[in-house]
Amino acid sequence: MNIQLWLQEKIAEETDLPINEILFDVEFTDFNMDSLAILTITFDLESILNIEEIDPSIFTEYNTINKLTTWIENHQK
Amino acid sequence: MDRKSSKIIWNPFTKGYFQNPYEHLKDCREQNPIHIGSHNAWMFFRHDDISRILRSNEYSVSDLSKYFEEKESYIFNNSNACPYLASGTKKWPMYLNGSDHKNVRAIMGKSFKEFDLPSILTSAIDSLHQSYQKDSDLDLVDYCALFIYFVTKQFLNFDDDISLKRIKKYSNLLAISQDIYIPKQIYQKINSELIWGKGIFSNSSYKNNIIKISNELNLDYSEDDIDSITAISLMASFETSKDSLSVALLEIMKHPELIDYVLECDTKSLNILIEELFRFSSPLQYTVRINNKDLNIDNINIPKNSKLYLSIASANRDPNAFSDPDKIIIDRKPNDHLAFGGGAHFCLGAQIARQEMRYCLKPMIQFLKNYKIDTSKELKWSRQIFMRTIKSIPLTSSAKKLVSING
Repeated sequence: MNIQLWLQEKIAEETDLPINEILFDVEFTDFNMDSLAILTITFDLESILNIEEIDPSIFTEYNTINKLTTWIENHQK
Repeated sequence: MDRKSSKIIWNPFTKGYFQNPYEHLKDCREQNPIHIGSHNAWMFFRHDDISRILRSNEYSVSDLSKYFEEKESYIFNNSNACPYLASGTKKWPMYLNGSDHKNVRAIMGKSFKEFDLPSILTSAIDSLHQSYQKDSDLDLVDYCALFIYFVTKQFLNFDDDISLKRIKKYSNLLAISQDIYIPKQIYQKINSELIWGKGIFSNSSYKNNIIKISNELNLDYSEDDIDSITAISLMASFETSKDSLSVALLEIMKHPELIDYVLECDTKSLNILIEELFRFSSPLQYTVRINNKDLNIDNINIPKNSKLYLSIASANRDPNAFSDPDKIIIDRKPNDHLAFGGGAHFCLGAQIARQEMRYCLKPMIQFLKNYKIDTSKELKWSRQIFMRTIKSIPLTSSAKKLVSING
């Protein structure tokens, strides 16, 4: 599965922004995602990656699709 | 105080937190007792601070129903569900201030007085032990849940065809509605439960009594308001009682000397032990207050109208308030624990919870002394922050001996 594309689609769905505005190197705060939207994406991430208890604060530390994808790839190994 | 400092920051995703939150809470209390946690809100850990805040008039409670009102358009975006989170939680007294709070408390308090609790509890214990007589395997959480089910069934008078399994799911999702770190997928499930739960009380004398009392008090409550009160009545009487009883029995069964003590002690000593078990288990681990004025504590400025998360679990293990706080001290006195909160929002069901323990501990331990905790299996705790819940406590099986003796 392409994590970048999955995140892009998911963020577009949760923010109601057009998908072509969800760029891989733009910070999540620019998409106006509140904490509830981040939790909602984290919940789906846990189930598709089969990782338990993902700390939602990774969205603050790895705050773009590209950075978060790197984090996910490292944790899948 | 910020994330870049080297001081510890409260974060329930710290490794091992859900299995045992107390180590992380101790670190927070000792190293950084007032700070902004990982959820970007203020956290308090010391008994002194929390006790003072709970008992002061200068703080309000946060409004859960209003939070849902603001979030419902997002939660139900592209969904066919009927949004009911805000309505379903509108009359939950722990989230109400002023006259709203006073009125719901008056209704619930009055309705509680009309029950013969001792006879309900005695008959629930009888039914419980009849259900278990022939079983050799036993799960302590299921055992506690069945007991509380028998109690709440009589107390709240819900329909016979509503099973324990169904009540457990309903009560747990309502408890989770108050937690933090909840995604919209779970809120959608909670919404369905709240709507389903309106049917639980269709023939309930408890509900009729709530309507009668609210009419006597001249409160113009809608059907949804009444349903909101019956929903919180069930969650509060089922979930917290099940949780505190499970942990209390678990701790007693871990310590053989406590088993003997419970069986032999007099009523006064038992009551002192029960308070200690409430302190130790703290089923409600956090509560929230809003400061009506700017605050300055320990030279930390907190602007007014901030959300303050008070860790009751930490306060109840604070060595400045309790010597040897991680041990159950059978005759601990004084015991100024905060398991039931404090001040205007002191737990409405505290006396019921105490009575439950007073009536059930001796007969339950008498029954359970023939069992042992199955140490081959790790105890699993739910991923819940505000209300700590253990999923399962398997017990083995000197129970087989019991069956042959009885049978």
